[in-house]
Amino acid sequence: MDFLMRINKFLNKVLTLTGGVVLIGMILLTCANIVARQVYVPIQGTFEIMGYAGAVVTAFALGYTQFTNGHICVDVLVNAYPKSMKRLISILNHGVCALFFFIVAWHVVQKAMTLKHAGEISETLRVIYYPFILAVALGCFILGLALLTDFLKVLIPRKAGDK
Amino acid sequence: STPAAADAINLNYANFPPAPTFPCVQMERWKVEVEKRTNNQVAINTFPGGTLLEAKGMMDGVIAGQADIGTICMAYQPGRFIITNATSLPLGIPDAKTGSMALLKLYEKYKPKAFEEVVVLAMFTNAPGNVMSMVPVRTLEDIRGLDLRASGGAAQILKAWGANPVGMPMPATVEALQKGTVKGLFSSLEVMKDFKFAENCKFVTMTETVIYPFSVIMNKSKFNSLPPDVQKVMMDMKEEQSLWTGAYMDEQIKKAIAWSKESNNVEFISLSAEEKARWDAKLEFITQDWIKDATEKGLPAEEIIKDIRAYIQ
Amino acid sequence: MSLTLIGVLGIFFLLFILFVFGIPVGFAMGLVGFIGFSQVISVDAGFNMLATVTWDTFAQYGLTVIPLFIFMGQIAFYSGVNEKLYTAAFTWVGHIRGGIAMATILACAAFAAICGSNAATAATMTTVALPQMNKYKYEPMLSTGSIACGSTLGVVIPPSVVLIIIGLSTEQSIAKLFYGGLGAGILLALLLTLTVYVLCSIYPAWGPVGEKTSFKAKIVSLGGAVEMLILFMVVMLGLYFGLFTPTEAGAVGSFFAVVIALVQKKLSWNDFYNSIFDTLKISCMVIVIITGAMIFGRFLAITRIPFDIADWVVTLPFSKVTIMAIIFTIYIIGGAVMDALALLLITIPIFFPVAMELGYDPIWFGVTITIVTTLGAVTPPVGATTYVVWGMAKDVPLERVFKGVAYFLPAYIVCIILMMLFPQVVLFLPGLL
Ligand code: NA
Ligand code: NA
Repeated sequence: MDFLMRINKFLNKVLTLTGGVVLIGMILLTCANIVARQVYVPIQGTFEIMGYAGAVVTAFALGYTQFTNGHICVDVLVNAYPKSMKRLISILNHGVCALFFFIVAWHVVQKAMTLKHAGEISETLRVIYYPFILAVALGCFILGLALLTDFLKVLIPRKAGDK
Repeated sequence: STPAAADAINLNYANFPPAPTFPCVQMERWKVEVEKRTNNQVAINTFPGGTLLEAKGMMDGVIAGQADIGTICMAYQPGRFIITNATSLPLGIPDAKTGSMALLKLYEKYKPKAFEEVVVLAMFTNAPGNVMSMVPVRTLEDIRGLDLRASGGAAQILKAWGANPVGMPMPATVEALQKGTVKGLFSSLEVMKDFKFAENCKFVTMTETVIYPFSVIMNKSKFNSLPPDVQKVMMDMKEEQSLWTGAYMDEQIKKAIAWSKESNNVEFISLSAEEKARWDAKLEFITQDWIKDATEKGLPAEEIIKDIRAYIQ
Repeated sequence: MSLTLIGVLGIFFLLFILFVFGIPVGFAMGLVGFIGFSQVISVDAGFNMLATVTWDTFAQYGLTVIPLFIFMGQIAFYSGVNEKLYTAAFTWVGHIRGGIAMATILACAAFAAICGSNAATAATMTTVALPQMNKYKYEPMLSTGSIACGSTLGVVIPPSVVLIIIGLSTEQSIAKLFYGGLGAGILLALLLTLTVYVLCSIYPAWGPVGEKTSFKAKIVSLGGAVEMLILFMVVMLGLYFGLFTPTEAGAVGSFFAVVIALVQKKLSWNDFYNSIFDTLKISCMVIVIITGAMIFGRFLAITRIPFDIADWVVTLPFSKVTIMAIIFTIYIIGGAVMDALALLLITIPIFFPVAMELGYDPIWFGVTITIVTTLGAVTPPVGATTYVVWGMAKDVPLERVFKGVAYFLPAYIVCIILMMLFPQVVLFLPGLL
């Protein structure tokens, strides 16, 4: 359990930091493109790279957002439930959502593999882009893992005295 | 149209551009004709504007059964439809009708592997691309350094002429033109009317190069589950529908040209034979590169080019 | 089971797991959309839809505007620039009841003029404006309500992706739609501001009055805000003169916000780090909701509920105005449960010809349904904009945010009625083209 928590924390830290670096890269690329366009020619493929980079930023933040309770929910009713009911609901929620995002991750991988085998490349730069799809799958998987941790946390309550 | 029979087979037909565009017009025409010719044994639900599937997800969406039928634009997925995308090389396809027939013949002859998981119901192309711009382009020197919207193969051609191709979706182009972020675009001319580009682009240079190949595809097991007489109606319509769409496209181009001249005083610039030769010379390497690349991938590249040239004569 | 029934059940199931189970909004819409779609077509098709919509939405260039503008707002927040901006605003308008809320709505309108997205406007403006309104002891219902409603101006005031899509699906001039949206947007902004004034006259405690300040103090207060104003001008002018797109404006704004903060030595390494992490978290939350709405929209589309309702209205034996009112009601309800863009894409091909048949002006119809649909973005149960504001206004309960929004609803109704009575509100500016 603690092991899963630590792994989770570490993975999310790495992904979020990567996402942050990509975000800064997006800002710099866009600014560079504006300057380059004014003085010479636009940087080829900026439009395309921005889309892919944006996907990575969102995907890599999925787990961190879950970890910090950033995904908003409507808890008007839930807050009014008795404790045992709250726990049951929480177990159900996290279990279902974890399963859902493992499914999403798996099928995003399938999509990436389909494009790989079809030999599809990007429109402007004419390079393979399925690795970015795999990055999105990774983000969804990590979100699934974060939800699984939350699920286990509620399911297996710590014994009194455990730190 | 007559109401569908209660026990009709329902088919979902997905399309990515907005309803008034030509790929959706041909979709509605196909729906009406198929429903009529099968005596309403099938009922076709159409989903324009990417409401069921977007352009790039269309092929895999139809294979997975997300839609039963879909229209794909092959240029959006370079690398995937190498043989049929050869029609978008600068080979001098004069109009959409000729382009559509050449594309269909090419498909029928080579039966590309890219289509092996679907049934092809029609193949068509748009009309050749021309340069629409806010400043007059009369010579190669005029286009040099000009920011023009283009995607896929069209971008490569603009680059060869010395222009700056800017990749962006057609809807974004409207705003970009109003703000002057791009100075024009390179596409077939129906957009002058459909997207009201004539309001900004007062000049059109008739380059008559590059088409986009489209295909209407159907989920294979869904097709196989249809009664034989319905299958026959669809297969019998393949060539007819392709031809109809090409002819419709050409008609739209004529209307767009007339409308642009009449309502927005757009000037249409024809290149002299001498000037046109200069433009064409710049593009020769594109076909050569494609031949080299396709040959490496084990395709009969030379033969494909020869065939296309023969089909469009 | 008929498709319509499945669709209706899907909507109820969504509400159920949203409210009774408290599943996060974006997850819930995705989950129900996926289950419903799989039920209607097949599980394989559902899987494919899920993966494709997730990738397409995440990788959409248009949405990159969200993290960029949020980052700009975060930097302004952590470096204290926006606090100064609000101190200045308070010095200028603080003596008016609810002055800061009015300033916020006008700031939303100004921001909307750059940004095409409701959600991005809401996220940025909540970051910038909410802490300041809290500081001046504004009633949370008033502050969150004015931000949520002010943010809806994002799709009405150009540039607007929604107006562009309407232009394309109806073959109308996008420039004319933009100018029409500008007129309507200004009217709505004024009505929302007026609402603040009326609310604060009735409940004086909601928008506390500050002291009257001298003219000199007003000028001096600008000193601390001038950097941000210059940055805003750079972004606006750059857009106006076509130097860049909204995404580029976000990047340029972010870049200079960091530069300004660094030059003034107001941004520690820790602040910078926090800005990035907060940006990732907020934009991720926003984009997950958009993705969920897209998936749910795919499900509704396949049940053909939007198409069926549209087909049905056309057959009604009522007067022109009644049919238009029915159409608007459908857009309000539709906007309440699904994403505006998806709703418009599905229904316009059917309702637009009806409006033309009834003799309404195409530009007027396009702009008016944009305002009507945008109303749906703040109403429950799927008020994306309201959720974004609430998600960031940590201590305010959801029902209070929705209640705050409810106070502004009359402004929308009056706006729509005025547009029906005086179409010139919309049509004057396009007429100048
Ligand atoms: Na806007
Ligand atoms: Na709503």
